[in-house]
Amino acid sequence: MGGRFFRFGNALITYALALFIVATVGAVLIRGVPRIPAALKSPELLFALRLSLFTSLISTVLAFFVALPAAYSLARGNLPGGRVVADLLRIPLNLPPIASGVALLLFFGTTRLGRALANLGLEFVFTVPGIILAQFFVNVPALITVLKGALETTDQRLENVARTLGCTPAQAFLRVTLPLIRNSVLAGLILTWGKALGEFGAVLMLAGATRFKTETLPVSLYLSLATGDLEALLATASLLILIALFSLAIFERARIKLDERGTIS
Amino acid sequence: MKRITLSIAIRTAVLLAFLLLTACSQPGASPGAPVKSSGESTTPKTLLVYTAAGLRKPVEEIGAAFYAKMGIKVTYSFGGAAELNSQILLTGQGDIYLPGDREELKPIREKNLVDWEKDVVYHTPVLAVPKGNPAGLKTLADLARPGVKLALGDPRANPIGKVADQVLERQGLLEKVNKNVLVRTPTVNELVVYLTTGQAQAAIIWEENYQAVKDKLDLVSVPELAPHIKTVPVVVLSCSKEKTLARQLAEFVVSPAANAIWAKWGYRPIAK
Repeated sequence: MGGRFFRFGNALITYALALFIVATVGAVLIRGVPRIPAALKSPELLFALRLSLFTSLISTVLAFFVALPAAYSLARGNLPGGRVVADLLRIPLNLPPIASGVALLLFFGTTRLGRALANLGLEFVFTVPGIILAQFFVNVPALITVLKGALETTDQRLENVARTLGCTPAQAFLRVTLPLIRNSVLAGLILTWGKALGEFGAVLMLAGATRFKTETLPVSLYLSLATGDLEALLATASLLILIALFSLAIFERARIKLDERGTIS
Repeated sequence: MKRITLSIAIRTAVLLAFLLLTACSQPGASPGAPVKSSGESTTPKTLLVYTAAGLRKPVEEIGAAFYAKMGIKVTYSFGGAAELNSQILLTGQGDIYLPGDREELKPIREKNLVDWEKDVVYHTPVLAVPKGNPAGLKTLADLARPGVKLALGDPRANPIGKVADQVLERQGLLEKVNKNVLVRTPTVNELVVYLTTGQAQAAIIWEENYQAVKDKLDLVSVPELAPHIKTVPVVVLSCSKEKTLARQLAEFVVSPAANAIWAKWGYRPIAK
C-alpha cells in the first residue's frame, strides 16, 4: 500500500513539473515564434544575436582552457593547500551572478589594480571584453566541478602506464585520460555555453546595458521590457528558448552517438 | 525506506511553505505607521503608485506622510518611464503615476488612462561631474572632446536620456558626443552611481540627483540646458479602483506639506 502511494506520488510530481514547464515555455513560444521573422529584420536584434554568440563561444573556450588544468590539479590531489584552493574556486559557484558582477565592477572600476589594468589597455567596465569576463567568471567554477568529477572517475594508473611507455605527463593526459572523459567534456562545454549565452546579472553589472555596444540577447530582452517593446520582448525570449532547445537536442544526439561507440566512460 | 520518504516529504513541505510565504509577502509597503483605532472592520486600502526611479526618495516620504495622515497604505513600482508605461498598459492596474516628465504620458493618454493630472515640480537637467571635475569640463561642447568618458540615460527608457539627446542634437554635438558615451542606462540612478564611483567623468542627470550626493559631485554650468527644464506631473489613472482615495493622494502630493518634502530633496515645486 505504501509502495503504491510512493510511486504514485513521485509520478504525479514528475508529471506536474513537466506540465508546468511545457505550459510556461509554451506560453512564450506560442506568442513569440510568429514574431521572430519580423524581429530578425531589426538591426538591433541581429547585433545582439551576433554579440551573444561571439561572447559565449569565446568565454566557453577560455573557461575550458582554465578549468581543465585547474580540475586536473585538484583531481590528482598533488596541489599544496589543495583543499583551500578548491573551496575558494567554488565561491563564484554559489554567488548570485549579479553579486559576482558587482564584485567585478568594483574591482576593475574602483581599485588601483583595476585602474592600472585599464591604463594598460585592459578595459572591462562597459566593454565587450567585460561581457566575456563576466560570463567566464560565473561559469568557470561549474565547469571545474564537472571536469574534476569526470577526472576522478579515471584511474591515474592508466596515465602512469602511458608514462612507462614513454609519454610525458602532458602526453599521457592528452592521449589517455582526456579521451576517457570525452562525454563529460562535451556535456560540460555545451552546458557552459548555454549558461554563458543566458548570463544576465553579471554582464549587466560589469558591461552595462548599452544598445549596439554591450547588448547581448538577455540584455536586449531586458531593454525591451525597460522600453515597453512587447513585440521585441516576445521575439527575443522565444529566440533564446529556441537556441537553448536546439543546443540541448545537439547535446543529446552527440551523447547518444558517443555512448553507442562504447567508450569506457 | 520509509524514513527517507518521510524526510523528503518534510523537506518538500517546508520548501513549499517557504515559497508560499515569500510569494504572498507584499512588496514596498510604507514603513511604521500608526494603527487606526476605529471600531469598523474595514479591509485596509492600498494605493499603487508608479514612480520614476529618480523620484524615489521624496515620493516614499510623501507616501509615508499620507499614511500617517489618512491610514491608507501606499505601495510603489519604481522604474524608467517607458517600463512603467508598459506595466500600466499590461496590467491595467494602479492608482497614481508620477513620470519624470509629462511628455512620457503620451502612451497612457492615448489609451484614455489619464483621469486627473496636476503639475508637481520642475525637473531640471544638469551636467554633473565627479568631485574635482577630473576631466576639466567647462562647457557642453567639451563633452565632444576625444577621450572624455560620458554616461547618459537610454533615451528610449527614460526622460533624462531624451533630454540629453535633445540638447546635444540642438547644439549639433550628438554625433561627436556619442563616441564618448561609455554606457546608456535604464534609469537615472545608475548614472549617479557611475559618477560617484568614477566610472564616468560626466553625466547629464536631474538636479535633485545631484543634491542628494552633493558632497561627491560637482556641477558644470550649462546654459544650453535651460530651455529643457521638464515638469513632473501627478496623474490619477482611470484604471484606478479607488478613484476618490487616489485623488486625495494626488492632491496631497501637491499640497504645502508635500511641497516641503519636495523642497527638502532639492526640487522646485510648481504650486505656490
